[in-house]
Amino acid sequence: MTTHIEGERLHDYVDGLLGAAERAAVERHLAACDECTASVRELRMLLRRIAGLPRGIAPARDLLPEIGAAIDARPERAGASRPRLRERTLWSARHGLLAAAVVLVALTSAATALLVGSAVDGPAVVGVPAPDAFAPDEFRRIEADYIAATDELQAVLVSRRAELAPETVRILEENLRIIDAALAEAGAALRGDPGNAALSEMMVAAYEKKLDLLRRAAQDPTWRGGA
Amino acid sequence: MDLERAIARLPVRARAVLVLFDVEGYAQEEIAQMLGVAVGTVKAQLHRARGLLRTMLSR
Repeated sequence: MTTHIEGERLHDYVDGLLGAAERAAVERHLAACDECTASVRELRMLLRRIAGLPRGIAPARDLLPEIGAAIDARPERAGASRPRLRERTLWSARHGLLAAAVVLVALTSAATALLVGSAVDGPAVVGVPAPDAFAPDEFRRIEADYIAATDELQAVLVSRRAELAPETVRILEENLRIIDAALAEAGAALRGDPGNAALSEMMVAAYEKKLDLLRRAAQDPTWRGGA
Repeated sequence: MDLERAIARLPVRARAVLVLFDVEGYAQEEIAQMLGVAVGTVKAQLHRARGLLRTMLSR
């Protein structure tokens, strides 16, 4: 067994900054090491949460004077929200991350129907430039992480079901049913069209929504929906 | 603790690097130039910020 994936190597791997040979070595190790697989998963989850923050949160330019000055010295980037959005969207897609807020409005059958066979800049995507599609392998990895995380949270909630307010259980079950139906439908459509970027993003957005729902209920047994 | 509050509590340089890389999408080399430091320093600050966030969020 090779050395565990820690420190800079772990972060560079998750950030997609390793060369091909080093990346392959890390993946060989991950295939045999549950501990490192869990570390990678945990870091990816954190980065997905960060990527899901609303844009404009705590802009770095306001933190240190040299950052504001450096950004202002780049006319192609400074003050232009549209290029920044595109940049960030592309960056997110490249890292297998997604800012859920920039993607799709609804997790409904209608949205899936609209997306199947339509271009990614079709009517269901609101003012967002088309990001690169997830590579199918990358999407499978991301999906596996989401499934593991939602399974863990669902297990926690099942074990604590007695502590949850009946209204919380009802809202949770109703929302989970809607999200799971959207996931099943988008998943089936994606199997028929694995390169459809809008569908894979829709699934990531649905998983993110599901995680958020489960997290809120796990943190607050009397949660009744809402923010 | 929620994520936004946790980010607000990070030391300012670590927070700046995290926001520039993880939120705003700048490359590590660009961030190093902006801050006038080595790329290794950017990586160290980024890893520190993520580690602190994980600790705060797991409390």
